[in-house]
Amino acid sequence: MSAAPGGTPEGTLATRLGGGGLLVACASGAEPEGALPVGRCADGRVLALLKSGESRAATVSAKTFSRRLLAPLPADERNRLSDTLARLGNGAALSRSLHELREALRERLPPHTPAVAAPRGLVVDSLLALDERSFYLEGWAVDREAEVDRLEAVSPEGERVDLAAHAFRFPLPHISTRFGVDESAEEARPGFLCFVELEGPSHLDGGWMIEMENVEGECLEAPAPEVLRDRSAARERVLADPAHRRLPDDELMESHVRPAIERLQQQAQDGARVSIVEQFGAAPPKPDVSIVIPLYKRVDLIEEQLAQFVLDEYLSLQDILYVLDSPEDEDELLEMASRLHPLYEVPFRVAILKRNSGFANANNAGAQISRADLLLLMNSDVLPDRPGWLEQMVAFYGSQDDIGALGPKLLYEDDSIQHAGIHFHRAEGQPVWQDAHYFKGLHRDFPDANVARVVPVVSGACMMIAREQYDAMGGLHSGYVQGDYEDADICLRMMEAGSRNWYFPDAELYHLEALSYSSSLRVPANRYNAWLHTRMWGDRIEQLENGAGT
Amino acid sequence: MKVLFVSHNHPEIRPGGAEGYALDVYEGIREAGEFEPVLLSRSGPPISIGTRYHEGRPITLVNHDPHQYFFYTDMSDWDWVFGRSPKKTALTRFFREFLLEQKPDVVHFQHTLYMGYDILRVTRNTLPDVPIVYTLHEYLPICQHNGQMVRTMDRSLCDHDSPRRCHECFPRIPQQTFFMRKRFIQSQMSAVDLFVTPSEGALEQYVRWGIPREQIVHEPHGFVPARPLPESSGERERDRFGFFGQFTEFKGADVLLEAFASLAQRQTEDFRGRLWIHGANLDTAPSKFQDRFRQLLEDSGDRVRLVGQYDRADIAKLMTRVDWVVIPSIWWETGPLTVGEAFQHGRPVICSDMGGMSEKVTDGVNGLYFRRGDADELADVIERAATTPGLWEELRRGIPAVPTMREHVASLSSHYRRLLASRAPVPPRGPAGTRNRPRVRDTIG
Repeated sequence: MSAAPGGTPEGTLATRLGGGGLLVACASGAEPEGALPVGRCADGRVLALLKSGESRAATVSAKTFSRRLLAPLPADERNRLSDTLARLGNGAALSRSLHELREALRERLPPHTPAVAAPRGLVVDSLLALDERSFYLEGWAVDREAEVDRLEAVSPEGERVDLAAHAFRFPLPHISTRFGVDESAEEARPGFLCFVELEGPSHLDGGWMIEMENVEGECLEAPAPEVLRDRSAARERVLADPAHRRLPDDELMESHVRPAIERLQQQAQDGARVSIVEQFGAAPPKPDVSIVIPLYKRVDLIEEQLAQFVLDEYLSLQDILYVLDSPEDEDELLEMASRLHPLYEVPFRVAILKRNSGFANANNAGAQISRADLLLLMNSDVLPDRPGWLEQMVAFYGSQDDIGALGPKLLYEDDSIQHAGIHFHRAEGQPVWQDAHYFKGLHRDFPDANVARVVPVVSGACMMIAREQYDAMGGLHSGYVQGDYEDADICLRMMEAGSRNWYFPDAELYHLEALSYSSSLRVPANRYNAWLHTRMWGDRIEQLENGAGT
Repeated sequence: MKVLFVSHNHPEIRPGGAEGYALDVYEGIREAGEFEPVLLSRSGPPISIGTRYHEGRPITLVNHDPHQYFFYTDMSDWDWVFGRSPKKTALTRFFREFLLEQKPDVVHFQHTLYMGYDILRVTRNTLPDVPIVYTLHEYLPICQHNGQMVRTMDRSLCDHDSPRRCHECFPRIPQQTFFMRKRFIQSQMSAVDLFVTPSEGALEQYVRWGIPREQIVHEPHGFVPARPLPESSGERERDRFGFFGQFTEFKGADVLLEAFASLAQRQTEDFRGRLWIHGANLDTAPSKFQDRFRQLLEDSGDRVRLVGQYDRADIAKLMTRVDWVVIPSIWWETGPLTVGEAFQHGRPVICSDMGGMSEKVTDGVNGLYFRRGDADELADVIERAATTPGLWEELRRGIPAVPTMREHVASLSSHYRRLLASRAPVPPRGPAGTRNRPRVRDTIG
């Protein structure tokens, strides 16, 4: 038999894989050109993968192929082969073929049953996709008879992940009780959660399995639920997991929560592209400031701002840029903008992001298309107290050497101080630093709050910063969830780079905190953000708060 | 010189104090001859039945008067907190076109309800140099509770707003929203050159709220002279009482009925007083109020007669039929027009001891006070009024001359003249007094 270029030799057996590939069994030395050997069949023939090609071989279904040629292999070889094939996967069609092969190949273990007297149990409660290779599993595994020494998740494509070594384990008293395990015992931690990263991508929602084996060789398997692929739901699940509330644990945070959130945030960052920019009114020719205002859901707030901006002629000369971070509201916002512009006649732009990308990314995307040398990051629930504030800020910014960020006085609706600069506070015995606002709640005229001064951090609700410097910093850090410590983070980075951040009381604006914020994630997101921020800046903050100065 | 009046309703559609007054002023200005008036009254559901207007233009004539128009606005998305509609086209296109066609020299708003406070911004943008006047008939810009400044939880009087207090009255509306509401309204009102209030108390209230004192004046309502009707001759007891007004919980008709119910129980020998209730809009009152009203009407027996809705043309006849006019309002009342009408017809007034009522009526001189909301005390006062010989005649002698519409129109005209004379650009002020100029006058086409 001779090798036939671009095809399979006669007399070999092949099965067609999704995506155009072929898995071929052929005599050694008779591999088709370009074929990749992946193993050996039970009858000694070479097993090879051909990415694409015409088959002149007899083609059979994946099931038949694996039953005939692969099933008789010893279990460990089958598993190894399945694993190798899994790593080749790329694309949903191929994944499906590999899943069929794996199903035909894999050794079946006794299934988990919810029987009352069962000595062991195994359940996956949730399986979150973070990106195409990263997943987050949660569940429990318990065995009252012997120690479990193998706990593995198997992807639909057949790739295996060792949970026994990597998962974070935690107590679940109701499970321990149900299986008669002493819940006070040190090892009684049936709960597990685990960040896992595969070598190849996995595209199938169904077909994940989990397997366990104890030291006596008793095995159990259980199917995982369908993969949850909605990113914001996944993020909520990771952050709001009751396990962290009970167990604020650095290992859990560092090895599981943080990489999971980072994968999700990274995707948000990759998707933070402006799809449409629309100008309402004539673009001001030479703006001093680009005012970047992210909008999330509450697009109606733009009328509240425009009704105030109209009172200040200087604002009509600036580049006002609304960045919509909830693209589903695109029609509503554009419609509203076209109604409001004839009424207020203040020129502004609307940029729509391709997908929801979060506070930091929305600001960064806005900064990228800004037209002025100065940026003013502004929240949609910030309203100026009176005209003149922006001109004053611009003048002050220009008058200071080495200035980083400039923040005005922000007020609550009852005329008390919301922001007059930010420092940090750590409650006794607590591991994380929280941000703390100087003079918060005091009257706006409180004398000490009416002095311009250098502070560690100013609020991102209304922050002026030179575009050049913003770009040099790489913009806001997108690792925080839903707008929290980004301001502190960039201010500290600028401080490290030798700039000083200023609080400027002459400019006064109201910040109707939490109006532009969806709240269900707020507490868990803040817990994570504070932890992450402390992880990144704890040492520097400690120096600052101990009087090392800025 | 042309003055455009803008009103939220027209008496042709439904009666009401402010809308009736707007029409009177329109006619008064026309008679005076110095300014040529145009009246634009908002129409459309829920106030009027019809939504019909000429294809592509929500403006129609009211009747055969070439200077009275209806302006239909769509209320389906009306924002009851901010007093505006998210649909701006009625203002930014149709109202704007109307302004450019009519070219008024002065625009005088009697209300912005059902059109939106932002109609002020459109007016300023469209006609940058035209004085804008705004009459404040009640406290709607300040108070979400129908502009009455009566607290929702216990009907006590309120004398100042704050985001916290307003939120206490409306727990489902966050205090930040109340803050934004005030900022929004004040931004729109910064386009106004002169505010007019019908009472001194209202002026002070609005100054406290944020309108600069130099931009607000007190101008008591003027009254079209009434045709005098002959008094019934001969000595007789002055024991006939009348209520004129809307049947809302704020006008206090229920307090008056309760007083009569209690008088019916007292069975005082020499009190044979009777009460005529004139008014309308019981159907739009909260159902709890309607039930209470009907129950009290029953309890007060045959001494009370519910006359119902009345025609403004019949007011002289109706006033002459009673001896005393009772104004038992539990809210501040800014003007009350009924005091002027009662005085025009020589009727002493029995009223609550506060607000616009105590401003216009003097206790023991031309009327009698009772404690706001106190039905027992009102019953005492009514009994005393009916049974004290010579009291009615004495108080009738104390009734002052009522400002006439002619005087009122002359005052308004002098304000218009003054504003027109001082059209030099004004430097920017604080939020309530800031204006945004210069702007280019646009033309249609």
